[in-house]
Order: sequence, then C-alpha cells, then structure tokens
Amino acid sequence: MPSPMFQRCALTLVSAACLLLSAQAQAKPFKWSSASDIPTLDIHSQNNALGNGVHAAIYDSLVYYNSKTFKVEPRLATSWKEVSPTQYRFTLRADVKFSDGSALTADDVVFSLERARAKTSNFHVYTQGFSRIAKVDARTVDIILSGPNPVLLNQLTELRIMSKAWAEKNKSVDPKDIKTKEEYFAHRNANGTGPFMLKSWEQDVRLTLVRNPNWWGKLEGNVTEIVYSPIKAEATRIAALLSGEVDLVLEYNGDIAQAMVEDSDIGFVIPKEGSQLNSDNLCIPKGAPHPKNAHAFINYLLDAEAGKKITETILYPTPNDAAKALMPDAYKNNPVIFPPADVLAKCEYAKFNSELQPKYEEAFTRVRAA
Amino acid sequence: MSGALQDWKSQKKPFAAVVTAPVFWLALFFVAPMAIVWLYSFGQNAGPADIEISGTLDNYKRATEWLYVSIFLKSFAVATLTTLLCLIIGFPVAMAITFAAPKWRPWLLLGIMLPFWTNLLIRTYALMALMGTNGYMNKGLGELWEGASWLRTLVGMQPLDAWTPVQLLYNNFAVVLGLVYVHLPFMVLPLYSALDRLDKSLIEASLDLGAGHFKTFMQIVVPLAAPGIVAGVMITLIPALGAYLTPDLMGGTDSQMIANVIERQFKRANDWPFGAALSFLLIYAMFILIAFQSMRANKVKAA
Repeated sequence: MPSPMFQRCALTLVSAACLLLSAQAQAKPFKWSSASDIPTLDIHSQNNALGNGVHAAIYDSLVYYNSKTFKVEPRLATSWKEVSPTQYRFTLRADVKFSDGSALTADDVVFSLERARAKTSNFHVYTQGFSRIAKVDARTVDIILSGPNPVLLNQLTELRIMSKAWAEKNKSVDPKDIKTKEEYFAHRNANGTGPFMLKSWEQDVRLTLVRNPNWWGKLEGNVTEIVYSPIKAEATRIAALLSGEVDLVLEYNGDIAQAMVEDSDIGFVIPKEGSQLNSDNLCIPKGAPHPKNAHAFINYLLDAEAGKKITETILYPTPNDAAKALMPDAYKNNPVIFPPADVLAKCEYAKFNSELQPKYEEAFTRVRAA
Repeated sequence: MSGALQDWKSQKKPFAAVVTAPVFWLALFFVAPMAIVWLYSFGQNAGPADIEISGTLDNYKRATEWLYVSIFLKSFAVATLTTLLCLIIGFPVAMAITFAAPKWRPWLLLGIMLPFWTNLLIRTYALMALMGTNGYMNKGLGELWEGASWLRTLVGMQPLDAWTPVQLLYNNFAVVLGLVYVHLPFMVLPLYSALDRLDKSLIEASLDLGAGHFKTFMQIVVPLAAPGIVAGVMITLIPALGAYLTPDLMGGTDSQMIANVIERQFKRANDWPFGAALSFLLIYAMFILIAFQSMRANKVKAA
C-alpha cells in the first residue's frame, strides 16, 4: 500500500485513450469464412444455403427478399400481374447486362427457369407447380402454373437467371450433374447480372468476387471485393471469429495499432470532445540501491536502434526522435499512432483527484446497480 | 468417539508442539493482515498513499446506504440461487456415486475433482469460449436451426430466417451458470461423504415397510444426509457470496456483486478505508451464517 514517492525521469510515451470501431470508410476487401466451400458455381446444380448466398451476389433472380424487411421486391422483374390464377406475367427490367456484356432478354429467363426444371437440377423444390414458361415478347415472360400458387414469388427468389447464349456456347445447357466428377464450364465459371462478378475461385482455398461495374442497381455499402476462404478446422475458425466477439472497446492507440496489423477491419476513433493522454514513465525510486544500473538501462532504451525495435513491436508513438527517424513512413504517418494535432489539442492528462475519484466510482457503482 | 483419543488437556506438551506451527501461520498470514484491514476500515484517506486511522465510523455509515445494501442483497440472492442449483444438481450426482459399484467410485470422484486440476481463470475462459455469440453452443444451435430450415424447404415450406445467435454471456444468467459450474464440486463432495456413511439397510427397511421411493428419500435419506447438506450449503454459499472473478468476466454491466465493488474501492477509487469497511461487512455476514449453523449443530447435539 504505501507507494514510494516517485522521482520522475526521462522517457515519456504519449498515447490517447480511445474507441475502436469496426466500421471504416476506406474500401477494403470484405473477408469472411465458414467451415466449407461452396459446392459449385452452377446456379441450378446444388441447393445449398452457402452456395445460394454466393450465387445471389453474382446472379440475379426475378424477385428477391429485401434483406431488412424480408419482403419480396422487384429484381430482374420490375412488375408482375396475375393474368389468371394459373398465369403470371412478368415484365423484365430494361438495359440489364450480363457481366460478359450481353443483354438480358426474355429468352434467358425462359431458358434459366427451364434449366432449373431439368433432370440434373436440384432446384425442383422451387419450380414445383410450374407447368410451362412462355416468352411473350423480348421483355415479357409468362409462368403458367398447374394450379393456383400463393408462394410463387417466394419460389422465384431462389431461381437465378443465366445467359442462354453463354450456356450454349460453353456446353452448360443442363445443370452440372453433381454425381459426376467431369469438368463443367458453369461449375467453375460464372456470368450473371448481379452486383458482383467472379474474379477467381480456387476450390477449398479462396473465392474472390469483385464489384460488377455494369450492374443495373445501386449497391449499399462500400464493399468492392469479397474474399471467402473456408476454414475447416473448428479451432482455427473460432479463434478467428473470437476477435469479432466484441465490436467496441476502450483502448490505447498503440494496442489498437497492434491489433490493426492483424485485422484490417478495425478502426480507431478519438471522441470529438477529446480524450485522456497517458504516458509510461521510467522512474527510479528514492533510495534505490543501484541507480547507476537504472541509468544504464534508461540510456540503452534511449538508444536509437533499441528504441526502433521497441517501437516496431509496441506501435506506440515514441518520444525518441532518433528512433522515430529510423521508422518507416507507414509508422510515422499513421494517424492512429500519431493523431492530428487538432485532435490531440482536445486531449489532456488526467490528474488523480482523491476527493472526486471515490465519488466517480460510486456513480459508476450506482449505474451498474440500476 | 474412540477411547484411544486422549483429551488435549491432559497432554499439553505434545499438543502445544503440534499446534504451534499452524497457530503461528494463521496469526502471521491471516489474523495480522485482517487486523490491518480492520483498522483501515476506521480510517480516512490523508493523501494518495496515506491512511489516517481516526476511528471514524463514516465508512460503515456509507457502506450501509441503500445503494450498497442493495448490492449486498443481490450478491446474497445470486449466491443463494447458486447454492440451491448446486444442491439440486449435486444431490443426484452424490447419490449416483454412493450407489455406484465400488470399483467405479474412485473414478467418479476423480471426475468430480478433475476440474480442480486446471486454474479457475482458464476454466472461466473455456466457459466463455463455449458460450460466446460465436461460441460452440451458439454454433450447435445454429446448425440445428439450419437443419430445421432445410427440412422445411424439403416439404415445400419457406425456410426459416437466418439464425441469430443467442446472447448467453455477459448477463446474470451467465454469472449464475458460471458460479454453479465452479462450486458444484464443493457441494457434491460433502454430500457424498454424508451419503457414504449412511446405513443402507435403513433404506431397505423403509422400502420393506411400505414407504415409497419419494417418501424414503424425503424421510430417511435427506434427514440422515442433513449434516452433509448443511456443510455443502455453507461451503458453497460463502465463496459464492464473495465471488469476484466470475461476475467480472462473465457478467454484464448490471452483474456486479459486492466483491467487484470492493475491488474497485481498492484499485480505481483508491478508497481503501471504504473498501475495508465493505469487506468487513461481508465477513460479518459470513460470521453470522456460520454462527447460525453451529448454534443449530449444538442444538442437534444437545437434543
């Protein structure tokens, strides 16, 4: 308890206490992971939740669920009407292009819906009750049902549209038969009208999607690239996920700078009202038996090379100009490590106030007891 | 009990030889530090690092404000619930070990004690990894949910919405679960030792004389195991009342227990006198619990 009187000495590390946010304005690849890879890129071959999710980023369906309201909304079909209880007429969006540049037509829709009904398709559950698909004109398609169907629109959310010409050219008219091992063009390649297009897919390793510049819609968010890498080992994946267990922490900038090296999806924010500054000090207690050794140690720490090595690890702002001069620009210009002067001007050192501190803690206890 | 055991009063020298070391140990490492803390509780801060022992009762006055009393009561409620759950879970476990084949018993007891081979902190972190929103429990539930969703699509129904993880950690539920997990062995072991000594022919006699299983349990097993139950309850309730680590790591913002408040007085608030007063109130409460128990035990002996 009786803390020795400290004699303040040399070296000061300035650091701002702050907040860390997961959102970030800068565009970076969105990386995600789960246990297994998608089975195929063929949109009608395997009805698999993970695969369907990825397909939906590349290929559009006629209608799709709004991700916030979960209501069915127009996608490739802009409107639809019930001609009779067993006949629905869909009007297609104009000026939609596949990622290979060809235009979407009613033929592609008829072809794709029929493809979902093919023998090797695994999407029969979504085409149940379909009797016939008919082209009315270049932008109109009829779905003729074998009986009234109240869930037709819901079924259509999982039926994605592929280019007929592309499938014919690449011998992928029928969905890939999952029982065979033969190579298949539509299994490894994709050509959709969706917000993203396939950049590369190395099965079980990495799937990369990039934004489709010609997409008809307007994408919310700033994701320009999606990288999916399946991680099979449970423990590895959990460890990777655990870092996402909390979204917000109160931390010093150096600790966050260290974390940002490992996880690019972390940001650092100083409250606009300002924050608290803290310094680590090297102190020699009064009456210490070996002050010479302490001085030698401090001298060593103040050496430029030693300071550089320390700084490379801790990523806090070093007060040692000689060490800072040796550091790369990525460190010197890092706004997390060296916040702008106007932000720092609002920050101040905390002073221990023995009167207020217990009251502050009591207020904190009161909040937590409420 | 046994005639071979001699009264310590007639054998003072050997008794003194045996007892000196533990008494010295207790005095040096328990009584003396506690006395210092007790003195602090009558003091006040005279500077960042100095406490003036002025004999003031202000700390106790502040500690008995409703804010702190309510936290005491909450800690007591959490500890009681923990003890009750430990009793309900621990009794069948102790029964099962008692009635297990003799060659299995040491292994079952080992199983109860196995968690003690690992540090409490590690065990708590393991529980947290299990219960997090990205933890194994939520993973398992998510898989089941997806399975159900897939079954629905098979019969042509709409799939379920995406699985949203359940918040298992960082609330009062997590604190109670963590405390039960930590304290269960403390309940099972005294129960086992009481049940093990129980004369099993009494159970047979009760069943032979027409009492049902439940009646035999309530009227024969429970009364005979009472000393074990009382010991188990005390040995669970008291540490649970002072639990610090579990609510700190697994609790939410509203899960503070009295030990967490005490810790803050000694650290962040730098108000040692007040922290000492709170600590001693907690110790007095535990004293009262133990006093009640020994009074009861004396009464039983006298009867």
